[in-house]
Amino acid sequence: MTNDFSFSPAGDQAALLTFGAAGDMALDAHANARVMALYEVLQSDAQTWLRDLVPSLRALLIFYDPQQIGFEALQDRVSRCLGGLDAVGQSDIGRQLRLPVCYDADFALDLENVAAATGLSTDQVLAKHQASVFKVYMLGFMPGAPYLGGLDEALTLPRRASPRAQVPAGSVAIAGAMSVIYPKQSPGGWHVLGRCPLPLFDAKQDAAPCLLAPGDTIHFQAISRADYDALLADPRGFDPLQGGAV
Amino acid sequence: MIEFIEVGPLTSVQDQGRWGYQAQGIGPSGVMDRRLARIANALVGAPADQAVIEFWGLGPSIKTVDRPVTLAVAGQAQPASGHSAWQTLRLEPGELLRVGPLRGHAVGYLALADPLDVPVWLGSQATHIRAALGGIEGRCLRAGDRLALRPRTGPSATPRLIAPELALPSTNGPIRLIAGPQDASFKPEALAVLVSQPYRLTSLCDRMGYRLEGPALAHKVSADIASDGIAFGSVQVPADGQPIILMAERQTTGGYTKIATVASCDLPRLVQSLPGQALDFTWVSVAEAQAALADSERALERLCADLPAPLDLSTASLLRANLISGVVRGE
Repeated sequence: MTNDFSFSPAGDQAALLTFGAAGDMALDAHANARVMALYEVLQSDAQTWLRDLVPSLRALLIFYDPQQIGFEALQDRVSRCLGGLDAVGQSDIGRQLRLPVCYDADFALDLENVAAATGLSTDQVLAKHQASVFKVYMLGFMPGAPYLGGLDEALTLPRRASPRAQVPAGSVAIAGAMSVIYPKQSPGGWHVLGRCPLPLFDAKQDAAPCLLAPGDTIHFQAISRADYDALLADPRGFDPLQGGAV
Repeated sequence: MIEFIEVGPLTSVQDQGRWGYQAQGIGPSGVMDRRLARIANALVGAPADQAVIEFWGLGPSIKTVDRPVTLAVAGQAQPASGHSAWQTLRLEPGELLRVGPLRGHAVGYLALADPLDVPVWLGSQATHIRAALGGIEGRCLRAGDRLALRPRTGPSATPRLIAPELALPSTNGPIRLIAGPQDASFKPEALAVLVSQPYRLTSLCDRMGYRLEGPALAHKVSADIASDGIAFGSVQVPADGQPIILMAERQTTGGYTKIATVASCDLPRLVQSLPGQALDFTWVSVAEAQAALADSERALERLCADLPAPLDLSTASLLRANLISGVVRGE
C-alpha cells in the first residue's frame, strides 16, 4: 500500500508526492482519497516549515521551507504520515454539499450531442448526471474551479472536437470521467449540460472566496429556470450544506 | 500620495505573494525577482517583504502629489529627470521622476519608504494580472493612477546606495536545474540535451512563463500527465519538446510533464535575462541547490544590512586608497 507512490523534488522549495506512475492518466478515486487524506493531515498539523499545499488528481505538491526541513527529512515525514493513513477510513473527508443546477435547454448547450454520442436519451443523460455522487478531486485552472470525479461511466466522452471560445459562467460540463463547473466565462472544450447559479468564486468574500474545497462531496440538485433566476439574483436563497431553499 | 504620469506595459504592485490558497486554485503571484525587490526595499529602509512597484522594460514616470516621498529605483536606468537609480531619493511635492527604459535586464523595482496603501487580499497586496486579482483592481498600473501611502512605522530612512554590479546577478555560469518531478517521462538523452545544447529565450516571456527554443526534448510516451501542482521555475515541456519555464504568475496546476525545476538561487538570473539571450543549464542535486540558496540568502542579508550611505562610500574608497598607498610605502 505505501510503496505505490513516488516522491520527487519540484525544485529546492517544493516536493511532489504522486500515487501511481507519472504517465498514468486514469482517474483513481482511491489515489485521490489518499491525496486528500494526506492534505488534511498536513494542513491541520500546520508545521512551521509548511508554506502551501496543492492537492491534485493523484498528487500533492508540498511547498516547504528548506531552512527548516530538508528534502529527505520531509520524505520520511510524509512516508510516516501515509503509513498512518492506510489504517484509517477516508470516506469522511470533506463536506457533503448540494449544488443547484438548472438543466434548462438554454443552458444545456451540449445535451443533444452528449445523448447522441452516448446512445442515451437526453432524459437519461440528465438523470445519470444528477445521480452521480461527485467528489472535488482538485481545484485549479482558475480560482475556485472544481474538477469533480465520480461521473457515471456511461457519460464518459472525449472533449469537444473544437473548444468553445466562451463558455458562460456557472456552466456545468463533463469530459472524460469528470465534471467541472466554470466559475467565470472562459474558453473551454467540455460538454455543457447545465448551469449553477451560485458563485463558485467571489473575491469580495475575504474569509472564504471559494465555495468548494478539495475533498468535498457534491450532489447536484435540479432546479427550475425560475429558481435559477431567483438564486442568480440572490444566492443566499440556497444553502449548499442543507440543500433546497433556505 | 504618488501619481503615475507615464507607465510601461507591465507595471504592477507586487509583494512576496499570496501563499496558502493554491489548493483553491489561487496562485501566489508576487515579485519576479525576489532579490532585486529586497534590495529596492533595503535602499529605502523598508521591511524586506514590503510591497513594491514592479516594471518591465520601461520604468514609470511618477510625481509626488502632496508630501515629500522617499523612494528608490532598483534597475539599470538613467532617469531623464536627472535622478539616480540605485540610491535613496527624496522627491519634493510636485517633483517628477522619469525612470525611463531599463538597459540589459528585464525587470526593475520602485520601492517606497512609506508602505503603499493598497488593499490586502488574502494576506497579500500582490497583483495576479491574469486572474485579475489583488493589487489595484487586479490590474496593471496605468497613467493617471494615484496611490496613497501610509505613514511608515519605523524610523525614517537613512540615504543608502548600492553599486549596480552588486545588485544585479552576475551572468557567469550555467543556470542550475534540479531534475523532476517528471524527468522519468523523458528519454534519457533529453536530460543530456538540456544541459549540453543551446537554448534561447524567445520573445514570449512574461510574468506567467518564459518560453525557450532549442533542440526538442523527447518524451518516452506522452507529454501529458494527470494535472498536478507547479512550482516557480518548473520547466514544463509540452508535446513539441520546447521548454516553458513557469514563473511567479503560473497557474496553480497543469497537465504537462515537468522535466526539471530551476534552483531558487538562479531564478533572479533567469528572470533578468532578455529575449534572444542564450541560456546554459547544469544539473544539481536538491541538497546542492538548497545549500546554494542558503548561501545566497545569507549574502543578500549582509549586502542589504551593510548598504553604504552616499558619503560613506567616498570615505571608504578614500580610506582604502590611503591604506593601499600606506602599504606600498611600508614596503
